[in-house]
Amino acid sequence: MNTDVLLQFAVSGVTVGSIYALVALGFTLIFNATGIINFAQGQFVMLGGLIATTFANTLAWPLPLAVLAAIVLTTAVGAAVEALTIRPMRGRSVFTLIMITLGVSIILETAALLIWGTDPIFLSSFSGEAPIPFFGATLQPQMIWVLGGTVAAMAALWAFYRYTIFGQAMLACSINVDAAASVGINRGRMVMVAFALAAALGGLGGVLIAPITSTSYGIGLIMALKGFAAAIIGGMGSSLGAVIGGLALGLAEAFGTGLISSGYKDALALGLLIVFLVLRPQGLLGGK
Amino acid sequence: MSRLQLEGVSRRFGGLVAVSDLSFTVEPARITALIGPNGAGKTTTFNMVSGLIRPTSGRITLGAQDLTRLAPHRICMAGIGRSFQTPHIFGQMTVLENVMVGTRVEAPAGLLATGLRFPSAVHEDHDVADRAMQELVFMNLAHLADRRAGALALGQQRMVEVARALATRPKVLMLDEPAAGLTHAEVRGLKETLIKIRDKGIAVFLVEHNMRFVLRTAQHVVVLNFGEKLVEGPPDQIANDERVIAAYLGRGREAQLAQG
Amino acid sequence: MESRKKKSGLQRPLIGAILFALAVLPVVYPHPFAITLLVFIGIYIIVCTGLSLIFGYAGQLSLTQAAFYGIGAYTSAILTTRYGVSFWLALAAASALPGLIAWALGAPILRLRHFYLAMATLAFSEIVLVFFIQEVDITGGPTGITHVPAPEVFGYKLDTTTKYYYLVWLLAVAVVGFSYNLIRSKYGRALRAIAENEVAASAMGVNVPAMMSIMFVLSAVFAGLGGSLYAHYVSFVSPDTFSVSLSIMLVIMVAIGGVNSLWGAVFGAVFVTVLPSMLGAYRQYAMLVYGVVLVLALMFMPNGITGLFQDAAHWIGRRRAASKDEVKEPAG
Repeated sequence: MNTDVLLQFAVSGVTVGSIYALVALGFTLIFNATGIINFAQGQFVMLGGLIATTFANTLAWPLPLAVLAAIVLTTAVGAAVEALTIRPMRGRSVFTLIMITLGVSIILETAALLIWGTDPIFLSSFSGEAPIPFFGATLQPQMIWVLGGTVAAMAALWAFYRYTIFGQAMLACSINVDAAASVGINRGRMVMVAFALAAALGGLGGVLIAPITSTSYGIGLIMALKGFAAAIIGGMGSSLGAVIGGLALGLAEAFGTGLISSGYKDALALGLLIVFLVLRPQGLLGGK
Repeated sequence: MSRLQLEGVSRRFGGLVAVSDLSFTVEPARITALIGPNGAGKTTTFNMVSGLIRPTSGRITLGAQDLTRLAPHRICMAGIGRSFQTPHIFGQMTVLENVMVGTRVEAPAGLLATGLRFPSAVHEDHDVADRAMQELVFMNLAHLADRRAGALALGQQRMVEVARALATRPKVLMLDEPAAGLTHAEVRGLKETLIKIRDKGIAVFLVEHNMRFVLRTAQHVVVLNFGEKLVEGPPDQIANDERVIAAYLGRGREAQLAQG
Repeated sequence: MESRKKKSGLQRPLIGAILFALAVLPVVYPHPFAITLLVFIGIYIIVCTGLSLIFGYAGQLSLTQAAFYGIGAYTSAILTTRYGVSFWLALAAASALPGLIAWALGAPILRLRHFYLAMATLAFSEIVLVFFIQEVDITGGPTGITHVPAPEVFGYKLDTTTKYYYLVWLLAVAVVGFSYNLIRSKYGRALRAIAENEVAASAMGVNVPAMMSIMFVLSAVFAGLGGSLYAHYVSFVSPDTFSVSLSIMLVIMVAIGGVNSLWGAVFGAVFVTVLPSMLGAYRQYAMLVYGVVLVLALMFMPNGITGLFQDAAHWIGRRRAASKDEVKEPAG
């Protein structure tokens, strides 16, 4: 097999992996703030993409505005999910929290089914379809948007952690739960910010990938599983781990699909998840 | 009768040495107490004996049987019963059911026999309930049998834990701070109970903070300090040992400073 | 001990009445739609009872039940359509295979807890689904397998819904009875002990990994049994029936019904079978309703529907116990 084909696999692996990384970052944000794994995380990806298609395709808004509106609305949904279902449940068992986020996931999925129907919907590419040669491979222009958007989101997240008091409190919180209170941050508000940001990251992923793979009501659960797989592979709780895990999973899937079988793409990713959970639950970056 | 023996047992957590090269013996039909200032490694030692954490090195044996690498339930079946420092009662179950959990160690009826309610399984269930009831009677808890365990007072919960541990028919009964949080009257009752248990031939092995209680109840005392054995011997000897006094007083002063 | 006798004394007539009603219903009220619905309720009760053992009693969230249900359905369908295996043998194989898989899968993954076990089991379910869709030679791919024969019992063909109804409910009652015996035995006590405090349970001699493995296997066996009954009833199997959403829905059934009671599984199965048929044309809203009901139930009645009854019973029981204690306490 020639190197051009392998390069093509790598390119598509990095593209898809970027989306997994965004979902994994969302998992990480919420996990660090609350210790919860949010099963509804993938639904934000679904929502972002579908809301954007409504604004862009149905309402014929200019694409940048539609994308922005989709991310803002998804963020609002994330904050609302926290306020309505997570905040009242503080102090309840882990088991109850799992069930709650599963319930939210189902509600979002079914609501989307009722609003948008079952057919996959495409969003038009941000800057045309003309393929760009890249050494021996070709890039779709949207792939550059995916990479650029992901890098921008990671930079923004980094700046948030580094330069805002909220971000620093969140970092401190991931080490010690009571730390937020000691720097004067209201823990409840911090959890809401974590959900809102996680939703924003998911929504961004959703709008970025919708022009490439299309989107539909049912992609949320598998996205959650893949994003979770990325977070576990990288090491749950670590932002760098989430990114590395996302890219690793995207590449593994792309090469697995290309070299073995495309039908087993999901099975490969989820098999990796189980293997990591059982054999190396601390992930690639985890110490012990 | 089989004795519990620790030989050169150590446990490190990362760089921290919690217990270092600890050796002593817990004899049958005797009350042995493990004492020492906070953080001396008492609970770590208990958890190593009952298999909740593994020693980094050393050997723990009960009679001829090596317990060092066994799973907690195997250690229980080998003859080690225990209670916990903060009550680990099954709060949603009744007191009797709590104690019945302990008795299942020796109940042989299989899944099919139980699910199909073979006579053997039905008999076994009755026997197990009787056995559990006997332990409750022995512990003067029979009147609480049908109460929800989580609704009991702390002192009663501790006693239920003792009954539950006794139901496993232990050779060694390990109690982690049984007197903590008890009233004076309850502490007196506890002492009598422990002596009754000892007189059945069981080795009673306790970690305890209450020095007066230890000196009046135990026949053998092992003193830990910073994870190492400071001294061991009969209570009157321990009470007058300068090293023990120094360890406790030194800590006492530090504690006072920290509070002040 | 007195109170335990009293409880079964109350339950026995109730159970007798339910069994009697189930036995005469097809004769007294031979409405095909109602009987069909009851066949599905019976199948779901079998599947949910299995789930409630591992999920309700041992407190471990397993999201693989639909996958085991599917494996059972496919096993039965494949054996009877391609190899002409008899119904009983297929039913046994359809129960055994998921059990074996659960045993092998359980060894590594049952060490995981909470979110991690839930995710791992969810991932496994997706993998099974991919297998159903991809392995066209074995499973028939996306279209599945058709013409699964109606079962023949001692030469007597169960070709009507009413005949099938009796088979399903016979097995459902057997499964519930077996599970009921288990949960009020040492197994049930051990499971509840594990759910409440794993460390204390193991220190009391409960072999936690073995106990969880047994219950995981048993839950898979029941799921497989239910799957086989499903396949022979609707006469075809296809992958979309056994989606991950079904696993989630089954967990919701049990959670809504109440996790600490087999009645929870029964209530749950009824609730989730009856609701979509009541919604009729608005069937698609069913999942939305489940989601909303689940979230509300978790928020406002943590013990589920059966929990409400239990709370009431507890309240009455406590008042009785209180009046009893007033007499007893001074003596004790």
